[in-house]
Parts: sequence; structure tokens; C-alpha cells
Amino acid sequence: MVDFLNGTTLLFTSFMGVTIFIGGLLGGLVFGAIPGLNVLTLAAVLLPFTAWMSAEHAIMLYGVIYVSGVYGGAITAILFNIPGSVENAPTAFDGYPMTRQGKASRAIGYAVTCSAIGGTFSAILMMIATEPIADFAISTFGPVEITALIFFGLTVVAGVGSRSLAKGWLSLGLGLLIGSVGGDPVGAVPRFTFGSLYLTGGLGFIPLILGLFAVSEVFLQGQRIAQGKYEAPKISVDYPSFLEFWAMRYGVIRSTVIGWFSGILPGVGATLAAFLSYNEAVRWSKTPEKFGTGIPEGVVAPETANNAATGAAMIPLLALGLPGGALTAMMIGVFNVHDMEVGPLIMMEAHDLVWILFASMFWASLAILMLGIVESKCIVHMLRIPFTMLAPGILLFSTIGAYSLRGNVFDIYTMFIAGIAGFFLRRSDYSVPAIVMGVILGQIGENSMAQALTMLDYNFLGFFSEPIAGVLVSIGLLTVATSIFRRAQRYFGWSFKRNTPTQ
Amino acid sequence: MTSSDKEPTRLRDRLVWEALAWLGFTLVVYLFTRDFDAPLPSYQLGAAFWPQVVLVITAIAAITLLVSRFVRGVETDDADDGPAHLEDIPAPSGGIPIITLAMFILPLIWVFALHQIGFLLSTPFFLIGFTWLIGIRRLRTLLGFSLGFYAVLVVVFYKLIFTPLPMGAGWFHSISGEIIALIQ
Repeated sequence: MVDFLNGTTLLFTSFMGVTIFIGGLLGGLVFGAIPGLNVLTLAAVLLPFTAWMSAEHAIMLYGVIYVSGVYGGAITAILFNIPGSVENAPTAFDGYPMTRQGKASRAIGYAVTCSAIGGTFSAILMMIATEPIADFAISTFGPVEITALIFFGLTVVAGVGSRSLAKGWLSLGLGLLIGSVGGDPVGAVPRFTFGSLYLTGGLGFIPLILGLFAVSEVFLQGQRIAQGKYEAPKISVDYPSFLEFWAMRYGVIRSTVIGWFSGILPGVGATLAAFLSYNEAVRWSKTPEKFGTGIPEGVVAPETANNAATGAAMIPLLALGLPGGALTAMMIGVFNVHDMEVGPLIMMEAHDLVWILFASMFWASLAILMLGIVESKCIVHMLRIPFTMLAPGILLFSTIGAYSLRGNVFDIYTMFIAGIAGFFLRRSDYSVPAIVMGVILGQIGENSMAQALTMLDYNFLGFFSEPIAGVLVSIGLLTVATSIFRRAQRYFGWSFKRNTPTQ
Repeated sequence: MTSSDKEPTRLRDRLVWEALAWLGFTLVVYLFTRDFDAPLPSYQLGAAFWPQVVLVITAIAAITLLVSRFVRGVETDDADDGPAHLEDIPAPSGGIPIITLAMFILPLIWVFALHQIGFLLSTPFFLIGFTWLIGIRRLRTLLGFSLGFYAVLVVVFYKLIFTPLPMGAGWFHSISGEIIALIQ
């Protein structure tokens, strides 16, 4: 507590500290909320300038940008079906359908509040339990457990976003295959590259999600306009009530826990947190078939989890020097610029700096709540812009976003081809969420699986000899069996209810 | 047979074609995996193992889709439950208007032009073209919106945040460089 108060005092008693805090907060929100831009662009642009800042201010700036940017990316996911970054992709699954139903403000309201809750709890946990939780998570979750976790996640994903289970699995398979393009994770053997240098590095994930979500949406709505069937989304500025939030309390707690533990796992961070949390929300729901149609639970789960992961991601970063994602990797760069090495000694060698970082992330999460409530009332008015004017803007911002990450024109081709494919797949009831989840979970999963199988001496039954992995694989298999049974029950009209006599 | 009777049959026939397309796709991709299916020194299962497992799952799903065409199910109350947003999506049977096809092609031409001519010089033409395709036909609105939006983009991305965007090739590259120098 004393350390936290010290950190807060150091943060807010210097004019420069307050300025950088507010600047980072607004920068993250704005860059996250402009279609085609994202917080990584801002972080990359700012990296060289941190050399002129004190180490405390520089690392604090990145902590604040990280927290606010993860929330900011939800805005475009909800309003325009353009996830600001990968961890906001599941937010679009239900957030955008809510916008189409005239509930954009409510969706943003849920995103704001849950981001703040997830971020704040995460920051508190980060402050009080960094050491023991880091020891537990890092020693317990190895490649075997991560593989089992991913397998379990994939079994849930197939049921999201399509009326047909077969099409759900086909979508997932397509996503997994797309994710396997490029060098394999063990020997970097080129796969499906056809001699192309561009494909050797794999298809860019950001261009893929921009294409599957944003570009395909422009084409679909463009066709509706051409056919005279387009209806603009209704605009409302009502904020969810306390009772509505209260009804989500278990989901919020579940997503905070998932987000926190996913955030601790090095190399996966907020992305896995958001996707797994969405999967779990589907699995625990009494009406799983409604996910993907625009229900608040589909916004609450990923937004709580991806913000809960932000604080947790600091644990492997600070304790082991292992980044959880691109932005935390840039934070290592900030430490290096100031001649510091992240690792076990950082808590002793730069005690004040670490506590300024913790305090800034805590206050940034709370500030999101204040700013976000105002934002949710204002930003929905962007929907008043006619779609005919919005569409070229979406395409241009997406193009710039796809290109600026790697500076490669092929990423723009990837985006538009994914957009055209997304148009046809969505028309035929294939699940874009399952494709996207297949790509991201597949890339993480294959790497873990290769390590796990090597450790288990290629014995697939070895997963059952590890308690956590065994449970996760068993639940995954049960999930597949249950979903097949449910669909068969619905299709063939099987009923196990007792027949009541009719008069 | 009325047109409403024909609709389910047509949809079911579409399922057959879709399933066959998926099976064909699976087979072709499987053949490609044979290019890299040798065991690796540090990983016996090799680079092809993961894609091949995925292909088996995909093939099973495609066969299930095919079989579902021939198994006649019972319509239950919740048989049509599914994503409500699907109602937003144009029906597949509606065909694709030429204007939608033009919406697919124009961006691809623009990306090719980005490579050759650069962002600065090709984007105004793309903006005018796409805005026209999407439905703004009044010349004054079309030009005013497209060029105004282009000006905002140039200021934001070239002057404020210095985003490196494609500059084209040959002398287009030189022209873009000169204009960017003027803007900045």
C-alpha cells in the first residue's frame, strides 16, 4: 500500500508526469478508436522519443497506452466491425450486431465498464500478488497444458457464428489452415508458400481480420445499397443500468480470472484472454446459439478479459523479461533505451519505477470509466454519417492500417482478398469468428503442441497423465460430443421430455 | 411445384456443391502437404502433421455437410435458430449485381496502382470511383467529398503522423517524394 501511494504521489506531483499520463490515455483511446489505426502504431511512433524522457515517465506512458489502447480498439470493433487490434476481434462478434440493432451505445457502455473493471482488478492483483501467482502460473502451465487449453478452446469455437455445426467446423478448419501458411514453428519449413517470400512469414493477421470483418462488411452493405435494401443502424444513447451489469457479475468475474491467467502466460497475453473468455462465455451460457447475434455477454467477456490481461502481462515481463505481445515487447525496448534489463532483479533495482507503472495502470483503468462514459454518449453519433461516405473511409483507413504494420503491399492484397472471401463465406452462413479464432489459436496451438508432443515422447495419451491437461482435453471432447448431440436432437426432433396428455 | 417448394431443394443442392468443393479443396491442399511431410530432426511428426490433422477434420465436416443433404430432418421449433445478423446478409440466391463485382475489382486495381503509382497519386481516383460505386452520384457531392476526404488523409498521415505509405515505382516514386517533401 505504501509503495502504491508512493507511486501515485510520484506520478501526480510532477507536471510532466500528469501531462504524459493524460496524453497517453487520450492517445491510446484515439488511436484505438480510429478505424485502421491501432495502439501499436502509436507505440511504435513514440518509441524513439522515449529516449528524451525519464525512465519512469517513459515506462509509465507505455503502461497507460497499453491499458487505454486495449479499450479504444473496442470502439471501432463495435461501431464499424473493425477490431482496433487482435484482442478486440471477439468484441466485434456481438458488438457490431448490437450496433446494427441500434444498441451501439449500450455495447460501448458494456465495453467501457467491463474494460475498467477488468483493468482495475488486474492492476490490484498485479500489485498484491505478482510473485506467488507468477511462480504458480509459470511453473504449472507448460506446453502440455497450453496445448490442452487451446484444444479445449477450439472445440468451443466451432459452435460460434453459424447455424450449421458442419459449417462451423469447416470455418474453423479454414482458419487453422490459413494459420499454418508460412514457416512451421519447429524447423521453419516453408508450407503453402509456393516460393513466395511474402508467404514465408505467414499471412499477416491484422490484414486478415481487417479483410474478413471491415472489408467484407463494406461489400455486403454495398450490395444492399445497390439493391436498395440498405437500412442505416438506429442510434440510441442509453447506457446499461446497474441491474443489467449486476446480471453479468459472474461473467465479469469469470472473464477477469481468465484474462488474468492468460495474461500471465508469456507470449499469448491479451489475445488469448479475449478469445478464451468469449469461448467460455459461450460454453457457460444457457443460450449459446445467441452468441454472434448481438448480445451483451459477447461484448462483456472479451472486453473484461483483454483488459484483465494488461496488468497480468506485466508479471512475466517484469519478472522474467518475457513479453506477452507486441506492445509489451516494445516496453522491453523502452527499458533498454534507459539502460535497464527487465528480469528478476528489476523489482529491487528499479523499485520506484515499477510502482509508478503499477499506479499508472491502476489509475488509467479508472480514468477509462470516466472518459468512456462520456465517449459512449458522443461517439455513437459517428453512425449518423451516411454509409455511402463511411465506406470509402473504412476501406482507406483499413488499407493504411494493413500496410503500415509491415510496409508491404501484399498485406493490402491479403486484406482485399480476405474481404471478398469473407463476403461469400458470410453469405453462405460460414462463421467468420471461427475462421479468425482458428488462425490465432492455431498458430499458438501448433507451436505448443510440437513442444508438448516432444516432451511426451509423441504419446498422445500422455496428455491424460497430466492432471490439468487431462481435464481440459476431456472437457473439450465432451464439448464436441454435446454439440453433436444437441444438433442431432434438434435436427431429428428427439425429445426426452415426458409426454403430457393432450385433450 | 411452387417456387417456395423449389427454394429448399435449391438450397440443399447448393449444400452438395459446397460440400464437394470443400472435399476437392481438402484433397488439393493435402497433395500440397506432401511437399513438406518429411520428419524433422527435432520433430519426428514433421511440418505437415498439423495441416494434415486439420485437413482430416475439414474432410469429416465436409462429408457431414454432404450427408446432411440426404438426411431429411424434422422441423422443430428452434430449427431455425441462428445468428440474427444473418438476416442482414443478402440471400445467396439473390445473385451478385455487376456493381458489387465492380466493388471487388476496383480495390484490387487500386492496390496494383499503389505498387506502381503510389498512394498519393492513385488514391483520389480510387476514392472518386468507389464513392460513385457505393451510391453517391451527384457530381458536386462526389468530388467535394472525395477530394475533401483525400486532403484530410494527406494532412493526417503525411504531415501529422508521418506514416510511410507506398510511393510507387520509377518516376512516380520521384513525384511522390517531391509532393511529400512539399507537404511536410
